[in-house]
Amino acid sequence: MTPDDQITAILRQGRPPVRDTTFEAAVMRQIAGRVLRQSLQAALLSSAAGGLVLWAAAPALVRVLEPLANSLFSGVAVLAATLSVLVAVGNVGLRAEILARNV
Amino acid sequence: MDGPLVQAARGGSQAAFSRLVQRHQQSLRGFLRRLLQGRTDEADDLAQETFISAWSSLSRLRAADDFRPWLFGIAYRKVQTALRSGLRQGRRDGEWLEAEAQAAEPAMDPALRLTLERVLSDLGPEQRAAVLLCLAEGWTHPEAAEALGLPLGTIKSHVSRGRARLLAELGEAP
Repeated sequence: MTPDDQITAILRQGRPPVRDTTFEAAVMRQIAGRVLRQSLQAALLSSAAGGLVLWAAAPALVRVLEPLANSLFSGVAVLAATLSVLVAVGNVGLRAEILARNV
Repeated sequence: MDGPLVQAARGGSQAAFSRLVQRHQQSLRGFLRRLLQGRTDEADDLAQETFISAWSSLSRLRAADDFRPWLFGIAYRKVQTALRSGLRQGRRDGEWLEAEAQAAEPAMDPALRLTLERVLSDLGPEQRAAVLLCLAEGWTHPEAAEALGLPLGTIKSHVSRGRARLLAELGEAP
């Protein structure tokens, strides 16, 4: 062992293992926590900003959307009724088919 | 070597950053433990803080392949701050040095090892950091200069003097 090798060996003493899953997991847990906090903050900020914009624009939106909602009301009602009938008929048909198979 | 992982981590990949932690945790923690003279828990805490700071500021790393010196630079600045604040500054830990000497490889004289440990702990933090990076980790002088934020000439001088002192203790001409 050369003197330089001895120095290197001494200086490298007390090193942790090549793999230390406990340490690695601790670091990544903290990073994941940080990422989660940042995402929550961003979501909170964007929803607050969105709410503020909607609140500020509410009078204008009401003026635009109210007539639109009135004109669409009858069409939406007919569509909803049609869909309800289709679902009900489909449900009855399905039950009949299941009964026929069991018999 | 670290470039692709750094790029992926910059894109938000925690798996890629985890690989970087795996790859560098041993040398970084070893460096910090030596720099803090065996205060293992504090060194490991600083290593964790270093990795978390690195994750947060990855976008500021100019060349992705320079991850290692950049990471060690963060760690070194954290040590400097800790030492300046005095929170982690303490007297040389004699008990730890004794324990290190007792755990020595059979081929090495424990008394000699203890002497070398003492020489190392007598070096200032800047000189010790340069010696550790170049002699223990095998870094080049420019790499160490980049990591520690010191002029190349200063690094060369620190390493040369540190090596000479260690060799003198070994009874070898530098």
